Amino acid sequence: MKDENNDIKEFFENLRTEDDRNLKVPTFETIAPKKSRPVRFMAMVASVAAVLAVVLFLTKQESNEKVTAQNELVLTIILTTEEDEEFLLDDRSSLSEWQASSDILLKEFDE
Amino acid sequence: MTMTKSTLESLLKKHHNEAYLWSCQCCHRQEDDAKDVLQLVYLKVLEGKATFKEQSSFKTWLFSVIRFTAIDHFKKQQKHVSLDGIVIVEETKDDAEENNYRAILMQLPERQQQILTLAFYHQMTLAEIAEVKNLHIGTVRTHYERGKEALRKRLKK
Repeated sequence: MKDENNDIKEFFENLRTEDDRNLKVPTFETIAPKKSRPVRFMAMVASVAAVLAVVLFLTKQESNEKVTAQNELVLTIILTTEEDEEFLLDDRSSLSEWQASSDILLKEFDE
Repeated sequence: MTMTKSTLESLLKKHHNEAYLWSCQCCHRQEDDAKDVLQLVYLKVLEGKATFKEQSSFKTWLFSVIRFTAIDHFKKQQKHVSLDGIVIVEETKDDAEENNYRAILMQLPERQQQILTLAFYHQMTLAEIAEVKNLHIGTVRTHYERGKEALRKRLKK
C-alpha cells in the first residue's frame, strides 16, 4: 500500500541530508557542563580553609607577641648593664655646701 | 524514583545529536544560540532543576525542556519572536538556493513547521508532539494536516 505521506517524508529526508551536510553537531562533552563537585564537599573544603585561616592568624599573632617580649628583654638588659655611665647631677654635693663661682666677688678684700 | 546523574548523563549523550538539531530548530537555526540553549538544558537536567518523572519517553521530555528553554533564552535576549507565530527570516538569494528545503519549510507558519519537523524529522507521534508543544492532541492534529497541505502546495510550485 502506498503511503500517502511519502512526498512529505521524502522532503524531510532531503532536509535531514542537507542539515547533515551543513550543520556540524558539537560533541556532547563541549556542550555538557563540567563536572561540579558536590555542595557538601565544597562546604567541607570551605570550613577546613576557615579553620586553617584562624589557626594561622592566631599563630602569627602569638609570634608577634614573642618578638615584642624579646624586645622588652633587650631594653631591660641595656638599662641594667650600663653602670659606667656618668651622671650629670652629682648627688654627693648638697645645696648647703654649694658655692657659686661668682661668690669670690662678694668677698671683701680685707678679710 | 529519581534517576542518578550518570544515568541522566548517558541518556543525554544518547539523544545529543537529535537534541542539538531540535535546539537549532527552536533557535531559528542560529547555532550559537542553539549551543547556549542546549548547555542550559543539560545544566538544568544534571543539577536536578528539571526533573524527568518518567511519564513520557526521555526524548519527548528533553525536547519539551529544550523548547521552553529556547523561549526563555530569546525572551531574555529581547529578540524573541513568538515561536508559535510567523517568523520572517531574511535570507539572501544564495542562502535560499543553497538551503532550498529549509527555505520552503520556512514559508509555513512556525507552529506547522515545528509540528511537521517533530513528526517527520524527529519521528515523533502526534501524542508526543502534543506533549512537547504543550498542546491538545486535537490542535496538533489540525496543524499537522494543515501543515502537510501547505507544504504540498509549495512543493508543487
